[in-house]
Amino acid sequence: MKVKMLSRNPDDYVRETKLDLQRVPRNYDPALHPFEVPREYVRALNATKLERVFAKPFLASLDGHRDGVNCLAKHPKSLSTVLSGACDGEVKIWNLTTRKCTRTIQAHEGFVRGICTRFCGTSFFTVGDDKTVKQWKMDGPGYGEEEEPLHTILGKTVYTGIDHHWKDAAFATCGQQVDIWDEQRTSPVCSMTWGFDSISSVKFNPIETFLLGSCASDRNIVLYDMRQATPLKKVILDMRTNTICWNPMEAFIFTAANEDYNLYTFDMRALDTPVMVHLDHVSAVLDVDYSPTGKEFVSASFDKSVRIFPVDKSQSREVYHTKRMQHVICVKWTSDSKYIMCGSDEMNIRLWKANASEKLGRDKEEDECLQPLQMNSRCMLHLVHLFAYILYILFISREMNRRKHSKPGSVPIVSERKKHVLAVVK
Amino acid sequence: MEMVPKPRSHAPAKKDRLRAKRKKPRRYWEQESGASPGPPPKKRSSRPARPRSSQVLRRSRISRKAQVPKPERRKPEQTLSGAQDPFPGPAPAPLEVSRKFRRIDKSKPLPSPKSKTRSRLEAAEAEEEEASVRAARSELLLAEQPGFLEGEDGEDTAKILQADIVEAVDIASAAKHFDLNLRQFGPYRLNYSRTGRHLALGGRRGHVAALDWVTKQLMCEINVMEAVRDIQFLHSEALLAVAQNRWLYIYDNQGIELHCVRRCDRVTRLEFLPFHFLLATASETGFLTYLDVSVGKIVAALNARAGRLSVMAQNPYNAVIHLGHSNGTVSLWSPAVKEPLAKILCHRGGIRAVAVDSTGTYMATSGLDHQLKIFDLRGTYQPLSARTLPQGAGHLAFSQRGLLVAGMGDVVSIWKGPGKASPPSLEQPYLTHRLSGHVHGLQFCPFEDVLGVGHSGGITSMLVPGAAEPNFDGLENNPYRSRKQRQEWEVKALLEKVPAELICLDPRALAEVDVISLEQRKKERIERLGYDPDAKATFQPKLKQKGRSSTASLVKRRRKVLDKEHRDKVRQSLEEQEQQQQQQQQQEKTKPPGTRPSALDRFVPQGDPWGINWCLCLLS
Repeated sequence: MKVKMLSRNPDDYVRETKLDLQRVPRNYDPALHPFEVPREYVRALNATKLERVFAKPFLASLDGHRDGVNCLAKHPKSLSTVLSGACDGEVKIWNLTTRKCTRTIQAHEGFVRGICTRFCGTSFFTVGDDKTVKQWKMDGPGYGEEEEPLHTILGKTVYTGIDHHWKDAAFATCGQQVDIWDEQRTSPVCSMTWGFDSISSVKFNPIETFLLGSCASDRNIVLYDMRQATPLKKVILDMRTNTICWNPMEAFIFTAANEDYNLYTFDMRALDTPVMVHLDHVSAVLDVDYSPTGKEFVSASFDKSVRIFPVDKSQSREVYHTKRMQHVICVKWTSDSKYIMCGSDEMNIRLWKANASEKLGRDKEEDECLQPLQMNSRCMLHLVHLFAYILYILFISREMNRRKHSKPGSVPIVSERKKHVLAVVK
Repeated sequence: MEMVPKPRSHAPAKKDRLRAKRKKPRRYWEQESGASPGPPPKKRSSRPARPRSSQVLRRSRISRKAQVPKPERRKPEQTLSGAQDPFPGPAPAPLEVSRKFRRIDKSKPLPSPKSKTRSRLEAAEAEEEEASVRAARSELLLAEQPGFLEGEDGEDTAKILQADIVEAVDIASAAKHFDLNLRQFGPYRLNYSRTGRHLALGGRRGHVAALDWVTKQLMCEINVMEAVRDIQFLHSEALLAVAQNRWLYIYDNQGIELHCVRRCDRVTRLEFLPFHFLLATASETGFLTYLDVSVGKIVAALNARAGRLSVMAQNPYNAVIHLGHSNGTVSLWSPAVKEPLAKILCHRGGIRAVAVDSTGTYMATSGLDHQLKIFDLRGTYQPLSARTLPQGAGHLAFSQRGLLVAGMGDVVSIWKGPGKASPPSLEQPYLTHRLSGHVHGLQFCPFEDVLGVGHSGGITSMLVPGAAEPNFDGLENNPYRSRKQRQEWEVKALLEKVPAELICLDPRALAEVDVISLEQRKKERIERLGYDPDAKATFQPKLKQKGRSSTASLVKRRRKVLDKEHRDKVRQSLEEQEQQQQQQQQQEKTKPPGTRPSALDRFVPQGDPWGINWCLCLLS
């Protein structure tokens, strides 16, 4: 007779001293882990619920402006510095870690229409209603010196926006036309127009640095190449676009914030249909900014809310609003992709987390454990944005009724993507 | 113009020369051959171009995946000391072991031809493959080996006495064999806790006790002064459910009565579903009641409509409750459904005992016809093997490694299968043992090679080598856990309590694509929109042609395409008809040879499906 009994030595399974960690032997045999699918489902459900429970996105409000905040700019080298321009011509530089204003400049008379930093971070440019472009040093004036710009350029018309080239000493302004400036000169290197209307914003492409896009109030988005004297092409939409923002990871993708409550992500190479229509806002979208990862962007709207959209989804992932936040005019995603700043009508700049339930500082490990589970649960749960959904249903049924009661074929079925693009001109 | 490129072409050459002259300082760890530009390393021969047809592609998918566990033996790299790695590359993982960990059935073709979905599914498959290989590799770390009992050649293991085994094994194992002589309080039911550390026993005449049977420490001992029908530990050893004569009681490990559940009355059998925190009770009144012990609510009370319920077992794989009835059927129940999920006719005569093995594959039943049968639970519910026992088995239980025990009068017999995943073969018992009284309760102890038998003379703890799973998982059931670990485990287990509605025959059903409701939703969407948004657009000939715009040719071409579409449709419908016919023929072939032969059958011509009609015609 040969016999062997299962006989464990308890010393192998119990810790030796109280200071040791408890021993946890593992066996991954599926027979010892029954119900893995339902358990994983429950775990995912809990993680999603807890994510909502712990969602505390609001971090701080920076107050100090005496009029609505009209424009924001990030510092290219310092994560803690942010610049803002207000409707009374004041520019403030903020330190985000202390949440204090470090410097205040009375830059313009009337609105500060646009603000941008130089790529090296030593100076910044502002444009205002007083038809001037001013360059300022990032550091404050020394003791006894007066606060005054490095350069001031007096233009003929009002400039409504400004953006700096990402590598060269050149910048672009917009107003009646798009002007490309050399920093050393007081007159534009070249000016480009296509049609006669005021252009509301101009943006340089961060990858293909010679490309730039602008949007005008005659409902079009125009693309330019800095090396050519004429614009490249334009796309005309249903309503006017307020701003565009280029994807920092994919050179040919940009997103346009439109007056018709939607955002449109375009592929520059095929402008006739947008890649995605982002639908959730319930009023005009005023500003948009990409996260440095290029996977998501944030939009600010006249409906007093800020929304975060994944680039490839038409519905937003998150909506931020507070009781006191009025129409949000400008928004920026910080360069470490963790925070979102928005400037609004009621003179405040608000700082939000990009991931609402993210824990800051310590206790991060557990959070990372939950991450993949939440992703799973997103697939499983039907987390419907109710309001937008209802609007959508109403809209669909209205169109359906119209189709039902008119001559067959007279109300054609047009997809949402193709509906809003009127024409592409080259 | 020609002058311009010249200096450029010279410049790099000059640089090279300079570099060659001023030799780069060599570090001590750099090899001589590494610094000097030697011949380029040998390239592996380029693979032959992959064929493009989809069938071949699919086959290649499987073969590619199958290759993954075979590690590529790379050329051993030179190390700092100059020694060579004797085992280069990743550790090998045995294919059979990694198959155990696989969750995706790769024999099924991938469902969607859409490239995006397909590539995502393929990525998931590759990930799963990787995970299973890693898990298989970690199998090496398992500390314990299962026990065994082998006779000398010709020796029957069934004849080996417990005393002999006790003599042969080590002292620690020998201490696991013991008898409790408790003749006073009548036949005993017993239950081991999920970790296998604690034992609860309940005597018919009211004796309830709980003890740590390894250290033989008594936790509590009381007499409830009432008949005790069944006893069951709840999720941990701290709580104890006792089915008493009238109602269901819950005690803690001090013997303090915590609850008296009056909604469960005249309970005969108890089963605890640990992942759902449900206590299933079968009662004399014919009700199967599910009590959620985490919140104390009755989740479902199902009327089995089959009289007194006294045979119950749970399927540990899918938490379905099996009830045995006096008409020879076993019915399968879930709290989510009012009717049984399935009814299996197992025996002629009533069912005496039911047991389901830990993988949920086999069910053993014994009936009043003295038969012991093993059924396959994987869809077919067909008996795999059957055996007539002289007395018939009154109690059945499966061990973690698939051993089957039957209690017949005062004898217990244990059967063993050839492998771990195979059903026990009923020809030859593995072990037998005679007790001092009639068997009343049986359970294999989890994670120990021990069988607990409750009988009219008390409790016997038997040694059964090879019964239990040798390696436990510390995060699920840890027999050596401390109090803190138990508390932590309890909180986690409560957090991931599976809702009772999810109990169904296939526990992985939640991970499958719900095709039925998907199609239903699609249908509703089409109804709502008035058109099918995913449908292929019908052919519309373009009016503008370059160079060949004669009306005749246009009409001709249009007709051609339309005809082709029409032909396709006709062909499809024909194929469908053919398939249906084939199916019908097959069904007729597989039809059982008549429910009952009738006298009129002789008039039916062979192989005529319309024979009856023909008969009727004749009659009229």
